Amino acid sequence: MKALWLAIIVVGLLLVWAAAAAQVGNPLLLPAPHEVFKAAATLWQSGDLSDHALASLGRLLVGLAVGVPVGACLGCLMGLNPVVDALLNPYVRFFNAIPALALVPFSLILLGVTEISRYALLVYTISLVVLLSARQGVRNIPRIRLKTAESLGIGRAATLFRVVIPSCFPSILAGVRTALGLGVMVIVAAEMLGADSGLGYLIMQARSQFSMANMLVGVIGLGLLSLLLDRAFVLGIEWFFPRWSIRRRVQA
Amino acid sequence: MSLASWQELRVSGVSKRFDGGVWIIKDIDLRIEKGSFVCILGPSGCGKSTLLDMLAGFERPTQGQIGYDDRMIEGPGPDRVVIFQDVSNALFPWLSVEENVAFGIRGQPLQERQRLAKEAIEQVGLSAHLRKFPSELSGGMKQRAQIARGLVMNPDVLLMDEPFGALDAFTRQKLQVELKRLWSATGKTIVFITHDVSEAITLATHVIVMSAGPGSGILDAFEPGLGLEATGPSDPAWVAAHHRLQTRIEQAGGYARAA
Repeated sequence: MKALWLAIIVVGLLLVWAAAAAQVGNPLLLPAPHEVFKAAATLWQSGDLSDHALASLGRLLVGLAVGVPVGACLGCLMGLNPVVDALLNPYVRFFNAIPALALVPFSLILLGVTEISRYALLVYTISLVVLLSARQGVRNIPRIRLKTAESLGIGRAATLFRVVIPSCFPSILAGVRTALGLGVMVIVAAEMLGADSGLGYLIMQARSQFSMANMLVGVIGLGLLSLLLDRAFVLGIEWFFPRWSIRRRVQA
Repeated sequence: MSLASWQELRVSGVSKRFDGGVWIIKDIDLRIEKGSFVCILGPSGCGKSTLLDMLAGFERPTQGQIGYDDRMIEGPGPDRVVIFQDVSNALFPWLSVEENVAFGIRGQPLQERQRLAKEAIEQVGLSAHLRKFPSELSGGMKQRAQIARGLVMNPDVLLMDEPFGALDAFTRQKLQVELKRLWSATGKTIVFITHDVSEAITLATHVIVMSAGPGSGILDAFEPGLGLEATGPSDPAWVAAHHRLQTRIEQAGGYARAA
């Protein structure tokens, strides 16, 4: 049923698009769906499309591998310790208002047109999002849960590992899920301004060639990449952490 | 975790206020005999939960002392396990029933922990739900699991903070009957907070009536003197005891403190 609706909506959108393209009547301005599919097929066959998608994905994974642990640890520390929280919170709020997109030129000049500069932007974005959700996760732990541990005679260190961390784990996961989407946005921006691979690069390259079809392949590819990442993330949690699965939490 | 022998849990001249505010409770003296089932009955906001928090060691009295005989209570400990009303938060949602019940057991190999947990789960009639997670249980089943987690620690005292307050009437009555049976089978001392006269009559060997707050104290102490089988209005002795307690509360001017 759900799949049927999805198919109806996709077909509907394609029809609207095709009608609009026919109305415009100029494939250089607005190519019809079949022309974009043809461009996608060409890019796929040459291996360019998958290379660019994998380049973007690889950068995102590096950003996650560094940003998630840094954000989770700092966020938990802030949630647990009022002194650390008071010290760091103003800076977190300050930088939280500055999107990575605004820092792209700064990063390119300071760190050069390098992978390091792109990783830095990703780590900046991902760690901030995860930090805030981890901090909130610790602060939202029900008082009763901590009192329960105390009443059962569980010591402070054991409470940290057996109660606090498992309690804020869902918040951290929610933060990582948000960071996935934001990460795709940041990586594309970074690739647009100085890279020789990635979906962002593909879009900019198509622009310089006046190839609307290739550009749309890049745009749609980005959307699909985000969608696939999100699905993979949700399924991955259900597989690896069934106790914290999103489905179970909805039931609870 | 059982302590060395003691005769009574003693509350001596206890008053409590937070940060120099109004007195929540004032000058409470209480002797809870080992093995008794004490219900502390009082209206909402009378400070009965604050009293329980002090017995548990979460809070310290502003004045007075609480202890086993002469030994002061220093803080929370597994000799006084607390059973909370908010059971959805008291149970750990990422652990199964069995893991929740075994949570507090220490210094034992895994197999022994599992054996003890299973035993306690059987005592509360949850054996069929060993591997379920709290989100898969009804409110009554969750509360049974929490009670099993308390029992498995073999505490001296079970401190229960309106544990059945959020359950439907039918489940509540069923759990009252079973708690009474568990109390008589294990010989534990139970301190049970409630605002429900019927519940107090059904369960307690001793009912302590608190006056309305702020600055509440003990209004009356009452012994229903009912047997295990007297669990509701179908029993004439229960009705009589209920009536007597109700009358005494009314004579004292509702829960208002006698001037």
